[in-house]
Amino acid sequence: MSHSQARIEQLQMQLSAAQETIQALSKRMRQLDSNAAQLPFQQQLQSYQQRIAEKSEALEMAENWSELIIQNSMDAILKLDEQGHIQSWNPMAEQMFGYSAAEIHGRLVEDTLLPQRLHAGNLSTFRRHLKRGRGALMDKRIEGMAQCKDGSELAVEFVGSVVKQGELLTYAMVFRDISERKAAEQTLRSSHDDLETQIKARTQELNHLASILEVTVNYVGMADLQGHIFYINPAGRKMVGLKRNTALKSLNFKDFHSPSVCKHLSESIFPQVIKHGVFETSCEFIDRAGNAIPTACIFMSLPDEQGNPSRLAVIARDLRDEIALQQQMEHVDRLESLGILAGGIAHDFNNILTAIIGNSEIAASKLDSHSPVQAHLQRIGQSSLQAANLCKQMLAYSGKGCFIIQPVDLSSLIADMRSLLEVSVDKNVPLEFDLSGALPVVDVDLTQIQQIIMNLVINASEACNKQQGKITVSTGIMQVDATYLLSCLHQGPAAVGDFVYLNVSDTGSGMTPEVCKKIFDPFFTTKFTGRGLGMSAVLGIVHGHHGLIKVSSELGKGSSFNIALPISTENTPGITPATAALIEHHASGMVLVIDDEETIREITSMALSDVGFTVVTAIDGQDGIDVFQQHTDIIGIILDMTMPRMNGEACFDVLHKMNPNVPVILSSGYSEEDAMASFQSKGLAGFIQKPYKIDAFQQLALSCFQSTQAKQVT
Amino acid sequence: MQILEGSSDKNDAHDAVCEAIEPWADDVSPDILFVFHSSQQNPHIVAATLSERFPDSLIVGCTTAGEWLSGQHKNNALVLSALSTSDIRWSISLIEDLNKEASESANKVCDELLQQLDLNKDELKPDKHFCLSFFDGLSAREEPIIAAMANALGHIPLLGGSAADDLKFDHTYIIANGKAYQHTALFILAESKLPFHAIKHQHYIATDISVVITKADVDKRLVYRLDGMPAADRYAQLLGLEVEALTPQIFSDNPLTYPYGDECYMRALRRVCSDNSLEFGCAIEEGMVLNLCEHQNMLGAYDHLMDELKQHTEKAALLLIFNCIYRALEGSNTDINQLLADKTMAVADHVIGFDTYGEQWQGLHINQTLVALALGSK
Repeated sequence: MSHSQARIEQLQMQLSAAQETIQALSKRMRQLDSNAAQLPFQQQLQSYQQRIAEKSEALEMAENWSELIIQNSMDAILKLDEQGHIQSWNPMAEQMFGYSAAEIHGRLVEDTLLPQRLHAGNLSTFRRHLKRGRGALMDKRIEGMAQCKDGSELAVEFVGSVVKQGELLTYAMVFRDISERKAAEQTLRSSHDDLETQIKARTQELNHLASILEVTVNYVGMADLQGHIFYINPAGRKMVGLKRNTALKSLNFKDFHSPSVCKHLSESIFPQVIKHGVFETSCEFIDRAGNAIPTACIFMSLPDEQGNPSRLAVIARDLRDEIALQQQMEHVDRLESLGILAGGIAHDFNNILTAIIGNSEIAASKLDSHSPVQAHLQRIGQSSLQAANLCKQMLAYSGKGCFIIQPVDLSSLIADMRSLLEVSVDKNVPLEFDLSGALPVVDVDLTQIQQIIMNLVINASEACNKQQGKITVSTGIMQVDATYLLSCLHQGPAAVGDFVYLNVSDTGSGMTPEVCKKIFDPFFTTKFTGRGLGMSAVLGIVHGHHGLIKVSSELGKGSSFNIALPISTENTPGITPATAALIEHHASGMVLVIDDEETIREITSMALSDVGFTVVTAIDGQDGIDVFQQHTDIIGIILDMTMPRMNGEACFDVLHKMNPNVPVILSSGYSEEDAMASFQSKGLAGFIQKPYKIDAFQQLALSCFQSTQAKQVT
Repeated sequence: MQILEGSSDKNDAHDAVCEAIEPWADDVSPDILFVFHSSQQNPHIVAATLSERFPDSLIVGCTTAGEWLSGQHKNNALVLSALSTSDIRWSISLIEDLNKEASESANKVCDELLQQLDLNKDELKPDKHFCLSFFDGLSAREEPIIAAMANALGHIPLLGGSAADDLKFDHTYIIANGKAYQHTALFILAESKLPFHAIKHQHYIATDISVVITKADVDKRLVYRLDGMPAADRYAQLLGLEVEALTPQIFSDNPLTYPYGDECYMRALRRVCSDNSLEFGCAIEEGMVLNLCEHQNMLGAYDHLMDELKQHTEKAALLLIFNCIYRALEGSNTDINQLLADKTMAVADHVIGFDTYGEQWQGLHINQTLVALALGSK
């Protein structure tokens, strides 16, 4: 093939190729114009591009929608460029911060809205975060203060977001005015603080109440409605014999009551408690050792949050001490009543004995000293004196004996009595003394204290007689407290503090509890020959001295009598009995004897006449006044206390008004203390207790009425 | 999100699976397990072994022309990635006969996917739901099916890749339900509380050199003639080469693209047929004008891609990659595939993916592109 032919063929091929290409392009253009469905890939491309277009349109719509939201937003919305210059500023931003969109455009957000005072600490951080786009300030809600155009500051919450627009980074910031919310939060915080304070106070109150529960002396317990106990306070645990750390988990209220009480509680009491909320009743507990404990209870129903009963509580007061005290008080009251009776009997007896003694003495003085009748009169006199001694003990028991109060050192007194006591006890019974060397003095009637000591030591001796025991007499100072007071006998309210004590203990036969309870009862005796007044007198004397007596005794082991006497408030040295003075008199002058007992008037008249006085008598107070008016030369008056029509006290007042210079001697079957109580500061010249010996009476009359004529002989 | 991964270079499928999961605890039972492996491993045995070992897990994957795993680009290997999280719900469905009418098949599979998640179609949201696609890479049916699926699913992200067989072009397989399928497409619909972001990347620019497809078999993607000449002759002529010099590497280096609207759609050449026709990897039509492309710097372009991903997700928990085989060939030619794998670790804690015979992106089947899904975000 020639070169030209080859060139022609090549051109022909190129022409064919060009024609084929043109045909293909033409065909495609026709298909695209008329029926793209014949071109599936083209159709796919169109669908794809359609989707892209729709997406763009949706995006545009979203942008328009976003713009609408921005313009009408209740929040301030800002658009910033990459450096933080404000590009967009919606109407709410204008309203919140005071800048118009025109004047704020292009300003740096941090310079404009960040308060000046915060620039130093925050500006660089803000810019760094803005530059990084993903710092702590981005995509997080942050609360802070923003500065307004007028310089005021506004509490705001803001959030920053990065918006990528092509290659450009922009930022959106949304600010919300939270000043009202902050104010509300502050109010809420204050309320919360108040509530916290109240809760703390209430908690403290509850803690205090819990502390009180822990230390209260009453039993306090709580249980559920099935009776399972979950709380008992320490006093309650002590009462029922539970240790402090004993678990309550398995305990039921039935563990602390007898079956009958449990039945009563379950069937009667608990329903009442649940019905009324609170119910008071007595209830007997049983402690772990099986002892019955009488109590006064207040049961309570404790409601749950809905007000329905959920728990039961009980406060129980242990009545054992109260019952014991009441029994003791009843005993004391009984003894006191007996004392009053005994005192009355002793008074009347003394009047009678005065007449017997006086008449027997006068009869003896009028008879020849060798008369065989003298021996009988002497026996009458001795018997009367024994009877008088019994009366004295009865009076002592009643606390109405003759008291001559003086400061006494008990140790010295007992030391002085040592010989007497030693001969009074059985010679086979050792008597030991443990006497305190420096005792404070006590204000007592010496004779009566001697009587106490003697009675106690003799009783101890008799208790030891068959036991080969020993007796110990001791003195000292002791501290009396409320607990000790409960364990001893005393009359009326007794003080606590230091007391001087006298203790007589023996290791003899001791007493049964029953005997122990009765030993102070008058006329109770365990001795074959006893009259039962010794211990009554001891009790009376102790009460008369405002003292305390405690008896401890155990059968077969011995007894102990502890007497506590108040320490004298006057710090004077104690004395021991002085020697009595004997006086002889030769009297003259008229004496008025006022007594409702005829025998007393007679014997008194005779006794006064014997020593030289002239005697006129009156049968009662009124009669005495009349007689006194009739005889202006009366130099002295013997006045009885208890009389009909007008008693001694009223009579004395009238006589004293009529002539205060006439001395009056009061004569009574009661003790001087009782009798004189009515005549405080009235100027009585003297007192003599019936029955009296004639010579003692005569000496008193002489000393009071004829003191100037008296000649004292030692 | 708990992610476990494993790999093996063993050719025996069973051994490869066992080696890949060997470090995993015995009680591991992931929600979903992605498996990609080369043509070396028997896909039937891979599917059965995994199904037996993880009976309660969804197991999905395909054969490949290269495998991606965290920090690694492999060939002839098997890679696995297992996910467990209460933040994502998954459903899967298959179109087992791709020759059936596309929209009918797409609607059916779409209904099945929604039903499994108890969703209505109008509940699908682009920020909560996404769909992954896996096609038999030799089916040549990606275009109509993916277009129909895009229509069925609406605007949610839809992306995926076509299975490959190491450029053998013999058999490609889809793995699901304990089996290996041919001529099948697998779709996975996910509802996620975690953020996710889909991305498409290519690095070619169209030149002014263009050719017109003058004769073609559209269904077989065969172009007989370009510019009125035998297609291979014309293509070789454009490159100044002989037809015998046309290799996959040449195809990779010199792709053709179809400019339409503002975009260029890459049309990859697969091979030269005996009649000097050219087989394409995606749709072509007669009269279509294709432009020859030239490369941008692959590494530089990849860096841009990584930057873009970083801006969206900072660092994803998992990056799922569908990378065109021709990109892998380009990377292999310049020996930068491992470097690309390393760079990828800057944007994700875990990576899994494969080199494809085509990529699906929003209703289109495309070539010489990387599409990816970044799942989870820091």
